[in-house]
Amino acid sequence: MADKMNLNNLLTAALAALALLSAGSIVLTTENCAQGVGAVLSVQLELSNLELREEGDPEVLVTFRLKNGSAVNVELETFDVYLHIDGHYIGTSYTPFAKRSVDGFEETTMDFVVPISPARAPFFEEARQKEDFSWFVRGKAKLLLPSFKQETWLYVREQWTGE
Amino acid sequence: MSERTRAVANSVFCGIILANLAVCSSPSFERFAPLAMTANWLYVGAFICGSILGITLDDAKAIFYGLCSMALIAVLIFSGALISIARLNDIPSYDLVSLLAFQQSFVRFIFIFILGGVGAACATLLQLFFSGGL
Repeated sequence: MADKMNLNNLLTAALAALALLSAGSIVLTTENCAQGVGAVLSVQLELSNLELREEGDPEVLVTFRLKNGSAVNVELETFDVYLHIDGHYIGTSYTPFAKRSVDGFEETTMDFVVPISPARAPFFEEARQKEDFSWFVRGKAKLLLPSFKQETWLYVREQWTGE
Repeated sequence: MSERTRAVANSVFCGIILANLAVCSSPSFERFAPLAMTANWLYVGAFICGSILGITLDDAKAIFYGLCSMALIAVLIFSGALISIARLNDIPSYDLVSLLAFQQSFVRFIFIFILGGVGAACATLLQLFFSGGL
């Protein structure tokens, strides 16, 4: 009977210790998650400029503005930009930087040069014959929140009319 | 420690432990948890916690209420964590998050209760077997 009481007390004490650790873990996880979700929701990507360069082979300079509205530092690991003209795909720019950090409550601009490949040049020339044509830019970015090892994909789609 | 105090204390402790396992194994939280784990750990945890309730409590009624309280505490903490994330970030689809939290919690409650019950039954039978009651 005394052995059973000792075992019961031991098990209750072990449960209490584990419950204490678990409570700490729940609080930490919830805080991390709230911060992480907040950071992802507060990151804004927008197209700020699109410029055609025609010296040599034609290429398009695409500028994106990234605003980090949270207190958490975020890092862009990859950012691929796909360019379309009048519904035709004309080129891609694959992550021109190794990694790009954006501190909390800061914003940065990123330039991407999209070369127009000779195979796609006819679509480009055909569109430019028209008075009014539209650019369509699609961006796909992989966002890292360093302290949580969290990765998230951001997608941006923007329409731009004329030259 | 009286039987009733032990029943309450153990149920609360098991509930908190299982809530942590539910949080760490949930797809919504696992990437942010200090120790991410698969959903199987919740079921293993429920079985072990149920067994401990079966060992430490002698009365069948106390075990039943203990299991109910344990599962209820676990899912209340789990859904509270899910809802607090939505509230802290002003996620507009608050009703949807609440519904999701309720659905996920309901499934977890059933699993915890059943596996905890199996664990408690196994522990009670083993105790009876070793004490010569069977």
